[in-house]
Amino acid sequence: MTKPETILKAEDIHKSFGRLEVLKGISLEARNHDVISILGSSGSGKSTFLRCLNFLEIPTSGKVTVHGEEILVKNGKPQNVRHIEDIRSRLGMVFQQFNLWTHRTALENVMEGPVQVKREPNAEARDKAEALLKRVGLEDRMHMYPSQLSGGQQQRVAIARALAMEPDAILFDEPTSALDPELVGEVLKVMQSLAAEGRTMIVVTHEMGFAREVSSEVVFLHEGRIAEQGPPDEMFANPKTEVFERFISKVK
Amino acid sequence: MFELFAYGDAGWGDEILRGLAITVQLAIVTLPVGLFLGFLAAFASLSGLRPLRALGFGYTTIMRGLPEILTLFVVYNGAGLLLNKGLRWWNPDAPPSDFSPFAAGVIALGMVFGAFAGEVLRGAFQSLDKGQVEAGRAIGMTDRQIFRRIQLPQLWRFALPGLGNLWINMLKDTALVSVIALDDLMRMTKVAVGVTKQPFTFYLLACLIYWAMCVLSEVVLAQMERRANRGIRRAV
Repeated sequence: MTKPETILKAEDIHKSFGRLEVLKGISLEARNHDVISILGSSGSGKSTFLRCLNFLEIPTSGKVTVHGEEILVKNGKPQNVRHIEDIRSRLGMVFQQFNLWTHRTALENVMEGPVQVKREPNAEARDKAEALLKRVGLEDRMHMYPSQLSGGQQQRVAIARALAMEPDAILFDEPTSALDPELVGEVLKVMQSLAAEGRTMIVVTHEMGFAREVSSEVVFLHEGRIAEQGPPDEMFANPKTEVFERFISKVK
Repeated sequence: MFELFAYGDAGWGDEILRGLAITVQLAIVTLPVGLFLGFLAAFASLSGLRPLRALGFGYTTIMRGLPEILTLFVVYNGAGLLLNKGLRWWNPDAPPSDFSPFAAGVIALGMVFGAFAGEVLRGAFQSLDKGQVEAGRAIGMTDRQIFRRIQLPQLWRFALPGLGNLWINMLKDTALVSVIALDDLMRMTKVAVGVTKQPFTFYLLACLIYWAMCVLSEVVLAQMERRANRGIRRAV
């Protein structure tokens, strides 16, 4: 069996806000088709870590490599700033608050990246965007503005927007946390189908069901460090650390 | 009484209308100048560079703190002096030339409008949704693209009510140029009052005209706001 190719590698990521050290050296490797769930209680640094991967948050130090392109950060200064936009366009991101552009329709939201960043011709981008919106079940909502869509629908548009860039991996930052409970399912279903398709995904989440059943690896952060890491079945069946045991007993 | 407003030598209708035309021209020419200065001031005060920021804040603070009429005098007299100095440096035999009151009015009113518009635009800029900017970053857009494609189109929606107020204020402030001998609506009204000794009639007429312009502006602005909010108001 050949070893799957490494898509994304983060090495020794540190992040401080002023004197508060939020991330105390985290390393993570995502191989092709990996679905990694990052768990942790609030304040564990899980969202910050995810945002460091595409430099929405600039780490204090560490190294991120995406598809062979690496950015080394020392003293809060990335060494090759010009690669940042490149790395970002290779990593899709789905936000907790959807962050759709409110002045553009669903279709325009999905077309924006391919047309503006990848310079694809309009017609081509439109065909692709229509196909992607169909893919997330929104073929009848393409020309609506975000304010006319429910939270679940908005998040599905946001997923289509990330997919339109044909990313190497997609980062999900608590994608269902801002949704009404009855809308969580439709978004999780789309995410599950992406995982089944073999997409590489890194997901910060509170959805234990998703972490257990869909992900190939679970990472548990505690106080800015990885406390425990492994395949979900093993980890949930016999937690090795007391903090993780307490965490799963609380969220159940 | 209506012969007072007759068009032609007998009445004041044509003079008042010509004054109105000057007032409207002045306001319309001032608007782009003021908006341009407003954008400059807003960018300066949002800049990461400290000297630029100081310049932006300095400009808005000073201009907002001066009575408009004083600004107008300073521009009219000061700019006139500078112009003549410049002319004589270039050609020592140049005859003294007068700085046009219209240009002085545009510059002075534009500077005042710009200072207030700078604050309106800065506020609008800061109330834009940061998440949408992050979404732009996350797909690899450059800062320029984010500004042009995400921020600028939405800036309008937040700035329009404030800019509308400034426009109406400026429209009324044009009356100040009558003191530097520009034949605007206000000055023609005063002339008419001086000649006919009928202050109440002509001042009332001027009131009605200014007020009509403001009402018209408000109607247009309300429509622009409705357009700018397309897709926003129609919430689920």
